[in-house]
Parts: sequence; structure tokens; C-alpha cells
Amino acid sequence: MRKLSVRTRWAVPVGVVAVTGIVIAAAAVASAAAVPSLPSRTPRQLLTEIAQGMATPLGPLTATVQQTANLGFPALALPAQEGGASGPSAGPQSVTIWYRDPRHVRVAEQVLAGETDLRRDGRTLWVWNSKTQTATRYMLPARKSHGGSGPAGGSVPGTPSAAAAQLLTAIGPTTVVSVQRNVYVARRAAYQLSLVPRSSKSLVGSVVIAIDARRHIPLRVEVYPRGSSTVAYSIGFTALSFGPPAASNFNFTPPSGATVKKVTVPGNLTSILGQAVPGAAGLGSLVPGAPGAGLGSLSFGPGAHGSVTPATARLITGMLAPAKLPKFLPALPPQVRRQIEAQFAKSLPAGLSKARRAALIKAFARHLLGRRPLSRGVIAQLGTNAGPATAAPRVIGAGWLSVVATPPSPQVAAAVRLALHGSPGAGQSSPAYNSAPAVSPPAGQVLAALPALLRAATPVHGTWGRGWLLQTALVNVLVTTKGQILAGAVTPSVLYADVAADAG
Amino acid sequence: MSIEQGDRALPQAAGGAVAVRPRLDWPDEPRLAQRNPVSAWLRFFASEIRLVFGRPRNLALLGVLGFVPVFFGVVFRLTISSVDGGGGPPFLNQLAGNGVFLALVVLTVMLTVLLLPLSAAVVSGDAIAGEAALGTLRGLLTVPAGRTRLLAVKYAAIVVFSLAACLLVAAMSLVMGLILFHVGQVTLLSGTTVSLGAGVLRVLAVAVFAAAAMASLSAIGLAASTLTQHPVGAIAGVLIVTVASEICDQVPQLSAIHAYLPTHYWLSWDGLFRSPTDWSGVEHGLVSFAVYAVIFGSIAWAKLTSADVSS
Repeated sequence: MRKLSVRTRWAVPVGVVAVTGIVIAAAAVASAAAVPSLPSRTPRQLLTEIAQGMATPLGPLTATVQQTANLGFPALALPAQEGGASGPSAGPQSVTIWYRDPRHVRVAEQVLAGETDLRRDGRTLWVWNSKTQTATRYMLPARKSHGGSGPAGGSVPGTPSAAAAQLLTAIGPTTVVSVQRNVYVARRAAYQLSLVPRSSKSLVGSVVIAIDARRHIPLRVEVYPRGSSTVAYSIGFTALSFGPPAASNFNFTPPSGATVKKVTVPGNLTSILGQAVPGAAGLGSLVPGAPGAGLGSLSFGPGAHGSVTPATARLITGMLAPAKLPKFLPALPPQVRRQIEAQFAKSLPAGLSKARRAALIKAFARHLLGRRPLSRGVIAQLGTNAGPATAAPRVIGAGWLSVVATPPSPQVAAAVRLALHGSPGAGQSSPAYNSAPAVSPPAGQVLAALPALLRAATPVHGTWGRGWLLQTALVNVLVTTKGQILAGAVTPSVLYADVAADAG
Repeated sequence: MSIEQGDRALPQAAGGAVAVRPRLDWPDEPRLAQRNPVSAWLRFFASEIRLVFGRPRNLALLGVLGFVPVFFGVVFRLTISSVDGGGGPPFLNQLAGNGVFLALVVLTVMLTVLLLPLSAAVVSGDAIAGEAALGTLRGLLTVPAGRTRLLAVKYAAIVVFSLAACLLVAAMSLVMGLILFHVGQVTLLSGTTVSLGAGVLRVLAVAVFAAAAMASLSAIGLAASTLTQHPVGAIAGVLIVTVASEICDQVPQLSAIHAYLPTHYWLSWDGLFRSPTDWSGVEHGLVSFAVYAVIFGSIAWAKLTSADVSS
């Protein structure tokens, strides 16, 4: 030791640093470059295997699903969501899933020093939020068999299965399908299937699906924007192990000191897990081939308490999801709410009794506050024009060029004017302004997000009319002066054409 | 040694009395080492521990660290009714229901507002540079073979001090939590409960984890301490590294390097309060701490063993 030269001694820390760097770099390179050798498959064989894999019940498992959205949305300052475990945050979001069967599921979103849990044990569903120390129990309606709407009940909510299932329906003459080099996902060997839209009007460059070589289930879905090699959206397993999870994951006793709420979900309302079943509701079924497929499927448990999807995804799903449970609607700015309530009061039929009118306004105000959706009775009172059928967003176009559009809504139009001019009545008084309001439940969310959305959007106009366009890497959103909102993974020209076609 | 004695001893420190006295047995060290190496190490270690825990400044640091839980406990007790969910440091929302969480709140606060890092920086930055500034380092280094052992013993004493500081904070917090708040079954982040004993064990595990983080930071301080003869420079250097690292950790554009920052895993013990217990954060943290300790420990070793010490 005494004979070591100064140079030799300094070689030790240099060597330690070098070894550390080499280990880190080697691990990164190895994980990126590892190519499992698997028997080769044609796209057709792979698609068949996926179909088989997804028809087979998945069985019990424990998994971590990570979602990364880099849609290029400007940072939107959304109102903090009541009951959310985390505020809107950038970066990857992950949930851990413990799954025994469709009736025994636990989904946990873990953030630093916080956790939101959804546990289903038969008919009982508990939502736990550590930040607010609140436990909410939902009693689900009794039903003989559940999962009829899901693929044989074998699919785990919020897994890549749902996203891939939606994407695969877009395969056809519109899509170039090819097999890419194999990868490891969640330490499992996987094939990769690449879908490239033929239309240049789609913003999607390619969708790459990693398919488990043994079980033929999708392990990861990645969406690349046109002309970019950076993943704009991805959802995939980061850990996956099969085998029954401990029963303690599913049953829940609220801790002492926690706030306990109890909600009985009426049979006629879409059950929470009805939404949870991938593709059964939400954006997933509306936009095949769009990144929304993944958003819709992951928005489930989280949709129910509002935190798993990032702010951007929440914005999209909130705008487009046809029906949601109460509690996760963000609070509307009070002045916007009052304006809308006033408009609503004006638009009520003239022949109503005073008490009935007051009751309707109260119900509507509660709806706006996000407390509860409008009941069918209330909607019926508003006339045939205002039912959810007309208010629900619908899909224009097909395949990669699908666009989700909400019908023109005076509420949205008023909120747009308010956000831009500070007064809902400023500017011309459009005819739609005085017509019966559309009272789709997502309207509250749309309105809450509008100011932020409009700040980031640019005014556009054309033969189709005037509006505001929010452009991102993967999704374009158009808000028209008539209060119509269109969103899709398409170039703006497609949105304009859709508005024109819709009006005509 | 009590603080009173220390205060009286302090003026003599200029003459090196306090620092030098435990060193008087040092010249015998090689002979002792030949006879019984283990006992020689232990003697040296014990003398170093006496030195670290005998310094009035270090005792004052421990006193401040021990007082912080009392202060926060009283403040939170008085303001607890205005605490609503989500605001404030993590676990504060559970404090009203269970005083055990005071320890987690206080440890989190003290790690993020640099109180614990400051104490680690002071003790480690002073370790070699302090001896150099007092002129006692030359005496310690007259035996070249002893330099590696000197460094090892210095670092061991610093680790013990870090552990003592973190456990003191945790213990004081638990005591204050017991006095000021309800105490009972501990609700985990997952909404499940564990017994009070299991909860306290987890809190102590957090304290040990925080001590590991401070020990890792102390290795940086030890390296800085060998590079300068001015303890204040080494201490400031450690704090600058800490603050710079924490700032970088907050910048989303630097997310690629976040996992490699020395402070990144300081609060990653929250997996201990989940069900099932998630060890991944703790494991990543301990690996990160160990890597930093080895890198900067080897820098300190290279500098100290090759330095031509003149003071």
C-alpha cells in the first residue's frame, strides 16, 4: 500500500466512476438492444394469435401498467380535481393491478407519499384516497354474470389488451401492417407489430404493438406521430406476473378516522365497472386507431376518481366520454357557472310551473357542480331536443380519420365567448344560443377546461365558419363559435371538412 | 463531555487542546496494531466517537435537531384544525389521526429544508479539513499506513453520528406525537392498517434509511474535506451540491438524469407505507447511496493517502 504511486491511487476513484458509468450505460444499451430470438411470424399469423390470445381468459395476475403521454399539449392549468391523489403532473403515470377475476380487482395509483386505490370484491367497490383519507363504497347493482360487454370477461381493465383491440379494428385497406424486430417488454419476449396509416391526413405515423410470444397478449402499445421517432403516447406493462394475488388485496375495511361515504349505484346507471371493461365505454370504442383508445381504457378506475390519466388525457376523455359518474368532474369557475345557469333558466319552456322551474334549475346547478348527472326525468322535462342522444359525442368518418364531435352547444359557445371576451353575450347572438341547451354530462368538464384550452389555441376561420384550433403532435382539437368541439388524430383540414359536412 | 465543559474548553481549542487530547495515544498505535489489530481499531474508533460526540458544536447540532420535532409538534398541534387534505408536507393529513406520522412529517421536512444535510455536512466537512486547520492533521499522518485507517475510522464515526441524528429526530418525534396527538393503529397509504408496533418499526426503518442518505452525503463531505484546509469551504461545498441536486431534481427537462442525482432517492421510502410493502424505492435508494459513498470515499482516500501534508 505504501508503495502505490500517487497516480495509482487516483486511478482508484477514476476507475470507480468509470465502472459505474459503464454499468449504467451497459444496462441501458442491453435493455434497448436485447432482441429475443423467436420463431418468425407473418403479420397475419400474429393477428390470429392475438385474436386467440385475447379470446382466452387471462387468468389471475399482478401487473404494473405505465402510461406515457407526450402529446405536445401545452401545460394546461386544470382545476385541481376533488379527490385526486395527485394534481395534474407530467411524466409517466403508472398503476398497479391485482387481478383475480373481473369481480375481484384492485387497482392502485401510487404517487409520492400518496395512493388512490380501487378495490372490487364482488358487488362491493371501495375507492380509497390517502390524500383526503376518504373511503367511498359503491354498491354495484346485482347482475347474474358480468363481463358480457368485455371480451369473454378475460380482459383486465386498463391493460394494453383494450388499446390493441381497438387499434386492430382499424386494420384494413387503410393500414400497412408489418412485423418489426422482437423486443423484451416487462422482461417477457415479444413480437412487434407495426401499423402505419396509408392516409397522409392522419397525424399518426405508426402504432407499434408488442405481443407476448407465449400468451399472445399485447404487452405494450406505442403511438408515433407522423414524421417523428419520438413516442407520443405509450401504454404498456412494466411488470407482469401470473398467479393469484393475495385475497387481502380485494377486501377492504375503512381505517378508523377516515371519512366514509356510501353510494349505491342504481341498476340503470352504467356500472362503474361497466365503464371499466375496456372498450365498453369511453373514448376507446369511439376512436379506433386513435391514441384515445388507450386513454379510454385507462381512464376507468381513475375516471371514477380522477387521477390516473394525466391532465391532457383527462382533458380528452373528459370532453368525449359519454357518461361518467359524479365526483370527478372538476369544479367550474363560479362566474362561468352562474352565466350558464342564467342561460339555462332562459331556455326553459315557458309553460312550466314556478316550482318545477326552480327544481329544474336546482338540478341543473347541481349537475354543473359535478355533484350528479341529470336524471332522465329532468332531461325529459327539457324536451326531446335536449336528451343525451343528441348531446352525446359522435364519430364522424372512419378508421384513421375518425373524428369525435360534440353537437353544437350553446353552453360551450357561451363559455368560449366568456373566456375570450369576458362576457357570454358579447358578439353576435347566435341562433343556437337561445335554443334548448344540450346537457351532456361532460359539458361541465369541457367548460372547465375551455379557458386553458383556448389560451393555447389559435383562431382559425374558413368557409366552414370560425373557431379555435389546438394543435398537438398527435391530436388536433377544434372549437367552433357555435360551440361544437371536434377532436381527432387528423390534420386540421379534415376537421374543417367535417364541420362543413356536419352543418350541411 | 457536557456542553459546559465544552464551553470552557473552547477557548483552548485555538491551542489545539480539545482536538489533540484524544490523539495522545496515537503514536503507540502501530505497536498496538501489531499486537491486536481489532482492539487497536476499536480504540481508535472509540476515541474518534468521543471526539465527534464531544465537540460542543456537534452537541449543539444534535440539540437543535432534537428540538425541531418539539417545535413542529407544538405548531402542528395548534394548527391541526386548519390542515386540509393535500396541503403541506406528505403525511401531514394523517397527523391529526395518529401522532406516529409526526416522525414522517418531521423527517421529510428536515431532509428537504436541509437541516439534516447541514448537520451531515458540518460533521463530514470538518473531519479532515478541521484537523488540518487546527494543525493536528500532520501528527495523525506521520504514519503513512495509518492514513487509510484514519479515513475509515473518521467515516465510521460520521456514519454513527448520522444514524444518531436521524434516530434522535425520529425518537423525539415519536415522543412528541405520543404526547400531543392520538396514537393507535397506523393507517398505511393503501388504506389498510397495521398495529402501532409495526408502524413504529416502519418509522424507525425510515430513520435508518434517512441516515443512510446522510452517510452517503457525508462521503461527499469527507472527499471535500480532504481537498481543502478550510472546513467552511468543505461544508459549503456539500450544501451547494445538495441544493443543486435538489433543484435539478425538480426540473422536468432534466428527467433523464434525475435517477442519478445524489438527493433523488432521499424520500423514496414511502413504499414502506404501502400494502403490500413496496421495497423498490428503498432498494434503489440504498444502491444509489452506496455508489455515491464508494465514489467519494475513494476520492477522499486517493487524496488523503497521496497528499503531502504540511500542516
